[in-house]
Amino acid sequence: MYEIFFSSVSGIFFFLMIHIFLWRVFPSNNPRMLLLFFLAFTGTICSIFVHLLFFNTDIISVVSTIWLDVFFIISYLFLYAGLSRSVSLTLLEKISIAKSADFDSLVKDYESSIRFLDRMELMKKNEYINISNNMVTIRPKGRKLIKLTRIFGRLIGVSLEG
Amino acid sequence: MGKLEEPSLKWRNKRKVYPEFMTISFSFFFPFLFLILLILSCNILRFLSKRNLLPFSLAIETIFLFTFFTLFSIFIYKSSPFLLSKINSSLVFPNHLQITTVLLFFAMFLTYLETKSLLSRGLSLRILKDLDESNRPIKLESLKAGYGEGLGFKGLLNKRLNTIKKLKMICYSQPKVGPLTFLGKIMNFLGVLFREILKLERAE
Repeated sequence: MYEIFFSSVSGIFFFLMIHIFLWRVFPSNNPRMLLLFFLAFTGTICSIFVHLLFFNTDIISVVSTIWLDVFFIISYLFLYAGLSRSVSLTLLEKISIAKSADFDSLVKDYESSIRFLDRMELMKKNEYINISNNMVTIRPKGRKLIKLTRIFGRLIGVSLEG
Repeated sequence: MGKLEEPSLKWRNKRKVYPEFMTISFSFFFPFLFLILLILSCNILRFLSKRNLLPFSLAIETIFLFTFFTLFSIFIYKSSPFLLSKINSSLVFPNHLQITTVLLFFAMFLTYLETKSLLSRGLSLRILKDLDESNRPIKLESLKAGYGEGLGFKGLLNKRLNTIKKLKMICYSQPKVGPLTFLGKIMNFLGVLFREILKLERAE
């Protein structure tokens, strides 16, 4: 088992190093999930390479290494998605700095942290909605997306709450 | 003689690959099947509670999910070699694959939780749903005010703060928010550290 663990950890280490390096050198407000997935894939290739080079070429132990990699990567992505743009964490940070805050003063911060207008602009750009004269209408593409989301949500037992 | 031996050798080589392929497929589809079972049983629980046959709350659902996840994980770990040998007695399920199959099940479960959270708390999806249900153009301001089933920003913030309070991270009695509890301080420290390491901007 130790060779599987070692191969997997080396791949994850490689992935994290490139990830931290890129994120620090090119900071961005965009979560860059696609790039993160690509780096994770590179990390898995690295794990397989280490396993084949230093340990054995048995296909089942290679698959074991991949499963362990998937576990580490999904756990990290779960943490990353939760922490990187968490509004709750931003609220915690604000309360921590001020020690205690007034509800009304937080409403304004909350409004900006949700980025309502940014979201609307993005949805307009992606042709989900139309905004004209301050009036918003949903477009067929938006209806399709919501229909698909409803079906998928029903399948896994989730309702949209916001 | 040599020509006769050649196809038989090829066939033997094929037989060598086949069991490995079966083992690998089993190690993926077996936990996947249990994930579907977990989702289905959760849906049945919701259905029964909608018909008032069972009490239902987020806490009950969470306890149910995690209990069944643990039980399924133990079952996957313990039964996979036995079940695989039932499919074909020559198939072997090594111990390391037993462990990583359970970890793969854990990864699938995390993906399910993340998708669930994205669908239920996705703010953009919520806006689209509000627009879809209204079936007519809505003013930008009233969309903002009626955001999240008419809760608006104040209602949503109140809901979020109450959730954080339930998780014992802050003291909150309206209109005073704060200070942070010990757990809240730890979470804040970890969050700030993580964002500092990756140079991520705050959601503001």
